[in-house]
Amino acid sequence: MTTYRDILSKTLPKEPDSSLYFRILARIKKEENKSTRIQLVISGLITISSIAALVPTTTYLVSEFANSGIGQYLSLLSSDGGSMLSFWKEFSLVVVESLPTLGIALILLVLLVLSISLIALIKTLRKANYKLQTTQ
Amino acid sequence: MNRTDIELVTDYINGDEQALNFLIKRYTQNVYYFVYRLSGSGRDSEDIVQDVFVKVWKNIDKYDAKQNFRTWLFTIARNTTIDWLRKKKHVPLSSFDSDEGDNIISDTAKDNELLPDELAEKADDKMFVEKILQTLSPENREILFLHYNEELTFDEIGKILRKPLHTVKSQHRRALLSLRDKIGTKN
Repeated sequence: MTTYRDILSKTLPKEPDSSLYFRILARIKKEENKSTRIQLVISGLITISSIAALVPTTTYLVSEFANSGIGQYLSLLSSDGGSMLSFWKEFSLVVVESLPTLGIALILLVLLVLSISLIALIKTLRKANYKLQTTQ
Repeated sequence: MNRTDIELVTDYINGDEQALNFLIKRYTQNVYYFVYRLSGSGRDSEDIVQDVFVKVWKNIDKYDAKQNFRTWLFTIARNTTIDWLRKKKHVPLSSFDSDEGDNIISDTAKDNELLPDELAEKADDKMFVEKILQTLSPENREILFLHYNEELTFDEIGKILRKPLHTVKSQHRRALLSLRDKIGTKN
């Protein structure tokens, strides 16, 4: 006695080539290498760009500091520290107000991007190195 | 130690590179059979299977452990095969898209239904059945394969095909009816 279930569960197409499993692994390896290369290029480019961006942002920050007059306030602190301490609240407010906020924000942003891209670059390099060692 | 699919996925995500290889080895044949049933071509099926596992590797961190791994895997396999079929224009686009059957033929086909003796004799020949199966529509072939070869429940099949349970059940009945007709006419 044969049912449809009997015949269907027994019927399968012809088996795949025995090398299929290894070809799948090779294909994944190829894709993995490609993706590592892309990651390396992207994180490398961002790292280089943010290092390059550090130069103008630092120059800008230095010039903003020079123009802000914060140096005069600080020299006042060393020449007449006593009176500055008695008006410390007002003095602190003036110092904070004169800070070059745009320059500071820009340099912090560049440093943040640099550290993120550097971490990504190191991680990708480590991963690539690990893969290289395990395949040897 | 025989690790479950979910354990292998977790181990791979946690850095065990070999875990993915185990998973691939475990499912290469099943995925190949499924893809072959849909595409009807051995050579192309091997290429599609490679694409399937590349997609698995790329998306493994998106796999939700609450979901059955086989359901997830066969969904990827199905979508990859359909994309391939569409690119090759081997199949009308509508073949896989219709959610409801055009006409629900009387629900008389049951998988435990006995075949007449002379048909059963023919059906014992696997090559014969395989040829008959290749003449069915891709959607009928996939539902029969998932249910009888992969032993997935209709609910699990519904998740793969993204169709409600009742649609899957009626599609299964239509597939059986179609198979019965083809065996009958070929006899």
